[in-house]
Amino acid sequence: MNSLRVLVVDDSPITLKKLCKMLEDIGHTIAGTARTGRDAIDQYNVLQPELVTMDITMPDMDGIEATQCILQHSPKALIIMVTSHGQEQMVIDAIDSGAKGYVLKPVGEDKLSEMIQKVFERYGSS
Amino acid sequence: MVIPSLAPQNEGVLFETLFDLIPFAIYAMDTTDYSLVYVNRSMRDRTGAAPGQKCYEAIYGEDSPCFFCRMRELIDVQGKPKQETLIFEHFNPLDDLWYQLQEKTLFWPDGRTVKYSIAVEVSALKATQNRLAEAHAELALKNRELENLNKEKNQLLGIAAHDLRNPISAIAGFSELLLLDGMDAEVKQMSSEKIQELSHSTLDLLNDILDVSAIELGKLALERAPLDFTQLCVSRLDVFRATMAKQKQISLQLEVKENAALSRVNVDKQRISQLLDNLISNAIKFSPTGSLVEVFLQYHAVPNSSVELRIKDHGPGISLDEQGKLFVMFQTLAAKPTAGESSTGLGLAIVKKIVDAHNGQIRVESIAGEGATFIVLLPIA
Repeated sequence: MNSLRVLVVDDSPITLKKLCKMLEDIGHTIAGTARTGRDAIDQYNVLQPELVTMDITMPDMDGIEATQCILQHSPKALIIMVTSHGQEQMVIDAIDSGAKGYVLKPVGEDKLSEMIQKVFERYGSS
Repeated sequence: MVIPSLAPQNEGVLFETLFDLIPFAIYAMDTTDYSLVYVNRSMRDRTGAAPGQKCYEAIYGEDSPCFFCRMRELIDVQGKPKQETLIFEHFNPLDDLWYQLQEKTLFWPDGRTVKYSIAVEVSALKATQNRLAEAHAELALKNRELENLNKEKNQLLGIAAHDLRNPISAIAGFSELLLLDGMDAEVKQMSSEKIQELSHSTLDLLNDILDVSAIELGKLALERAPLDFTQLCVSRLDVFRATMAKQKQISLQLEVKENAALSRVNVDKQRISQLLDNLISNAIKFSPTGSLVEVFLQYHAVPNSSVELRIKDHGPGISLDEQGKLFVMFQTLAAKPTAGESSTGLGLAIVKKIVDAHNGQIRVESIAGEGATFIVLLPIA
């Protein structure tokens, strides 16, 4: 698949580093990174990335609220949740907020690239 | 078994030896400054942490206390230990493993309040739970898609039924006139003409509705085959030159930046013909008599191999506000066909669906009063 410009959002610097490396290894470029929900919204508006990976638990504003805010202004944004929350309600809230994919940590290259592929096949054209 | 009694100075050694034998990571940290006061062997082996280091640096690589730290829940306002024990699951991004943590505060022998934490690795169990949660998310996504599709279908059905009722009841009325005894020949002639006109526009609407649902159903089953895109444009324009454009004395011009790739474009011929027909007929409908409609065709190699099609009219143009509603079914816009042609309100929605099914993009550039240009980008599969 084509190389995408990705915004990576996670409060943990280690996870950010790992996700960025993985995304680059599977052929994408890193548009930017953010460590809080609010920063994610600002970065999205400036960078206009083609894909966002979004953590849920973050200081300032959580990933679900940030997803809602981004989609309110950019309804076509493609956001994948990359999280450690597997509780039923969290999953439902994330999908209701408009996330197009949900991956639980630990995330390997295969899992991540498979999810990106799926999201693009399904939602990439609209 | 008899446990020999130990001298008090050796008791600490015994406990440390015992804690080092436990295969779970155990540490204790000073609640006032987050420094580690004790780590057992399992903890040292897993993280390399040593007493004196800050827990957040040693365990999580953070430069300040972790956002998820729950230590505050375990001490009272004076900083003294509370009774409760916290048990929760946590993912550690450093080693990519899941742990069940059990945490509690107590007084260390030197009087400091410390939090101790026992971490049991539970990755295998979590892997199963996580797969279930991901499957759940997948189902929730599918469900949302189906709900949206259903909403769109209901909307289409509702509007279509409404839009069909008026012409059909008019057809019924005029046909009754035809059957009345002693009706003037003039009235009969007028009624026949009305019936003919109304049945044609009703048929157009029905065809469009059928197209919308056919495209929805067939989205995954496009019949792609290599075709000569330039040739297709030439032949569709010829058809319009002989019919609609002729009636309005509109000249149709085609400009092609020739490229070998244009002669073998992998698309669904029937759907792309329909897309061309809808865009060209719209351009003619909304253009003043005697004006010009221009079609441009170009191949792009970068960023992705694609065909660009531009259809430019000299009609009234489309305001920025209306551009957003353009590709939505049954939107009534300010501009009307200039020679009383009919419009079903579905043409552009069909075009959008065809473009989407080909993973392409469509947009419009227009300044009110200065015509509109529809731009389609189709990736060459």
